[in-house]
Amino acid sequence: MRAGAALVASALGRSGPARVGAGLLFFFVLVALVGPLLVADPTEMLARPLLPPGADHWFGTTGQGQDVLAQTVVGTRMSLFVGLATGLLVTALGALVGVTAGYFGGRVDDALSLLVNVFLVLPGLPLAIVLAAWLPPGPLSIVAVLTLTGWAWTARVLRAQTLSLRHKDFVAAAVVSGEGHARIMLREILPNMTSLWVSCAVGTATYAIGASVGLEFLGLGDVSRVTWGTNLYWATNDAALLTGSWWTFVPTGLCLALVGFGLTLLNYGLDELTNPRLGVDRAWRRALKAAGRTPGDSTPYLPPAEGGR
Amino acid sequence: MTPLLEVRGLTKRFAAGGTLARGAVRTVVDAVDFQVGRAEIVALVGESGSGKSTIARLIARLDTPEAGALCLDGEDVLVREPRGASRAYRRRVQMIFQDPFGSLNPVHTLAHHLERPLELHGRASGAELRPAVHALLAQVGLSPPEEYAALYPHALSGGQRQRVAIARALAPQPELLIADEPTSMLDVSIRMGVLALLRQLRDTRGISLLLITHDLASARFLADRILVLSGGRIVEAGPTAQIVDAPQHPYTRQLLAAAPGATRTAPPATSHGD
Ligand SMILES: Nc1ncnc2c1ncn2[C@@H]1O[C@H](COP(=O)(O)OP(=O)(O)OP(=O)(O)O)[C@@H](O)[C@H]1O
Ligand SMILES: [Mg+2]
Repeated sequence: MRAGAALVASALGRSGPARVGAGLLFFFVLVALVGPLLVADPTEMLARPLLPPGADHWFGTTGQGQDVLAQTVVGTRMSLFVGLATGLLVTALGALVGVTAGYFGGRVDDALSLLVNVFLVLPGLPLAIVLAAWLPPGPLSIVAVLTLTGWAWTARVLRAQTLSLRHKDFVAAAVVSGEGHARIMLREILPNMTSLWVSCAVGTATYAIGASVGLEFLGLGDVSRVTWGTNLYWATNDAALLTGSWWTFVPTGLCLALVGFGLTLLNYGLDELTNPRLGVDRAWRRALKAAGRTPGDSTPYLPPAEGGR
Repeated sequence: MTPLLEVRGLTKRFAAGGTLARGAVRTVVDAVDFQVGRAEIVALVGESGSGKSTIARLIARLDTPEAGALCLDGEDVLVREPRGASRAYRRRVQMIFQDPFGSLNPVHTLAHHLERPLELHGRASGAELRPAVHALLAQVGLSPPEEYAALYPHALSGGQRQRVAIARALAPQPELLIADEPTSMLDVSIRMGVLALLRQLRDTRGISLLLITHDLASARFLADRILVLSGGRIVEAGPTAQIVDAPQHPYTRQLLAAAPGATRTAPPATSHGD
């Protein structure tokens, strides 16, 4: 497991987009961790409502006279938490079901695949809305709802990969060594698809942050908490568009977009790992450019690189 | 004396495949009988598709036969452990796979590959693990073992990998080793080294070996007895010299004709090392 993670990390370190994505994420994690200590109380009425950005309140104030900067910063914490928690839970559940199904095959696979398929055909977002309205409002409910509606895809992807790995000789060798099934799945198979499940986790986190903001925006969260979703909920509630107070929703929207962008870049880097062709293509285009050729010419011949193979 | 391994009427069928041929089966191993004695090297020879690997997997209990008995020390383990091999069986019977590039897990160090069987079979634990791993690596000729232990499989050549696979199979201190074409994926120049290592294991430790190969030359070099397999049946069996010098079955003659090294009196090219 550690080795797989280290391989993925070092490969990601070499990918430009992944580095930018990781940087963006690191920034927001930092904001989520220490930001709330540095800003004012986001729920308190500190000034006149709907003050535009200025020296006292850099991002202005809301319709309730609260500091928008404080709300944006404090909201980061809960929104990132929901994304991360959902990403982890979905991956754990998806791996449990998917790898078990793929590894054992036969009737176990039939039963688990049926379950997965049922969850796959359930319409995710409508179900999430119904469930969120029915459960007590709050971030944990949202995590639960998004996990329940999101795990099946991960399970299916990991099952497919497990199907191709379980016939490898190193799995048979582990069986001959007397290794137990659980350990084979955890220690022999899962680390061989680290880039895949990490990318599933990142993709799910992206989806979960967006979906949680969406649900809260619809008023299906706990509106007394400060999250990016409730920030937007209160902004529309206070008729931000009618009053032209763009500063009440633009900072939150921008942060949301940046986090989504960062996660997507990270996943792009992971995609290069799972799909080495992308990386090869890029290297080829670079080599063509260095040789002063453009892609699409007649088949170019490049002299072998100095010291290369 | 009862032989270490005795196989009687071993039969394996596979679905013939294709949705049209529903229910059709193909008998890949057909009522095979043979024995492997203590400290004996028996070669199972046959062309591609004759069912050699299937027999290996049956004895290693990676697959379950449709019929037959698989006796270790005279006791039918298929009756005693019908739901899969016990750890005690695994300790006594180990297997080396054909493809050393597939049989080692790319995400684990060599040390991991050897520590697990040592732990599982109570051969070493805790602080004894490191020296035990090093001893195994040294035994298969990978030295300095401290350096090899920390390597990942991708850093090794095919021959070195196969030595690691042999070390892993030796970790539980088995009595029977099944080697499924252990040298067929290796360079000709390093085959002899691996074969010599296998023979040395028999000579020094008294391990029995079921050597599976399509190459009569290596069977001749190593084996005490040869079984000739064709289409899932054993068509000829006997001491190595008898099979090589006076083959009875036409299929065996055909195999011999196809293997130029096998009929020479001198052993095949002896270049050692990897
Ligand atoms: N799981 C399986 N399902 C269906 N058919 C199989 C299966 N495993 C093996 N077979 C078939 O059984 C036959 C014997 O296969 P086996 O792998 O035992 O041959 P082999 O003698 O080891 O050949 P080789 O020298 O190529 O390794 C082949 O025709 C193969 O297609
Ligand atoms: Mg084979």
